[in-house]
Amino acid sequence: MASCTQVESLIQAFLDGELADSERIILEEHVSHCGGCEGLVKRQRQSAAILYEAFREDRLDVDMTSNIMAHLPE
Amino acid sequence: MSSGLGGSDWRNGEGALMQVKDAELVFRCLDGDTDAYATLVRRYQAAVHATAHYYAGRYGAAEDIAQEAFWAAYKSLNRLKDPEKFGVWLKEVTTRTAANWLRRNSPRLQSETPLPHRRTISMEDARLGPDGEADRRERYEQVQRAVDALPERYRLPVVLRYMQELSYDEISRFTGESRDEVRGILYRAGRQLRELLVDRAQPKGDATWLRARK
Repeated sequence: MASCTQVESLIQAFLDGELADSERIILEEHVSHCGGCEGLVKRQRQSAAILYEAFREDRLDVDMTSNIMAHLPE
Repeated sequence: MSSGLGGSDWRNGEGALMQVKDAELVFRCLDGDTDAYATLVRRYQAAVHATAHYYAGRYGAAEDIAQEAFWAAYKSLNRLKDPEKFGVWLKEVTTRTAANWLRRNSPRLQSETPLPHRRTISMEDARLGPDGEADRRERYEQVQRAVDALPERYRLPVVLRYMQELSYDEISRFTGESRDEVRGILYRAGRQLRELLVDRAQPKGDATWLRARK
C-alpha cells in the first residue's frame, strides 16, 4: 500500500483537482487510516484557502474580449 | 450565445471555435479571420491578466497592460515562428508590455508613495468594517510576501493557479513548462507556502498574548 511519503507528494494535485482517479483513490484510502496525512491534507487545504481568498479580489471578473476587439490595431 | 459572467464558461468561449487548437486559430487570424483572434483572447485573457497583475497590479495597471499585450500580439502575429507555442509567446509579449509600461511610468511612480499591493478598497473590505479591512489587508500583504519569497520560477504558476484557477494544462500552455513540471512546481511551492502561512504562522498580534497575561 502507499506510504506517507508517496501520498504527501499527491496532496497538492489532489487539492487542485488534478489527480488521476487511481491516484485520488490511493490518497483517500491512505488518509482514511493515517492521522498524520489527514492532518497534513487539512493544513495544506488551509494554506490553499488563504491563497485563494487573498487573490480573489485581484481575479479578472469581466470579459475583456469585446473591448480588446473593438480597438484592434491595423 | 450567452454573455453571463458567472462561472468560468465565459472565459473559455463558446461556439464552433472553442475546440480549435491555438495554431489553427493563429493561421486563420493571419488569413483575416478576426473571430479567430477573439477566441484566442477569450482563451488567454485570464492568464494575461494574472501576469499583468503580478507585475503591475499594485499600480492599478493590470487591465491596461493586458489590453496592450493583446494589441501588441495581434500586430506582431506574423512574426510568431511557431504557432503551436502561441501561449508561451503571448506570455513573453505580456511580460515585455508590462516592463515597457513600468519603464514609461517610472518617473511618476518614483515620486508617488507606492500603494499597497491592492489598489482600491474593495466592497468586501467595506462590508467587514475597519478592523476586518485591516485584517484582510494584513493577510493580503502576508500572502504577497510569501509568494515573493518563492523561487522566481514558481511565482507565476502560483499566481495563475490561485488568482485564476487555471488548470495544470492551461498553466503549461502559457508558461512553457511541461505539465509534469507544473505539477512539481506547485507541489514544492505549495509546501513552502504552507510552512509560511500555516505551520509557522504567528498568533494574531502581540495583543492576544498581552490580553491572556492580564
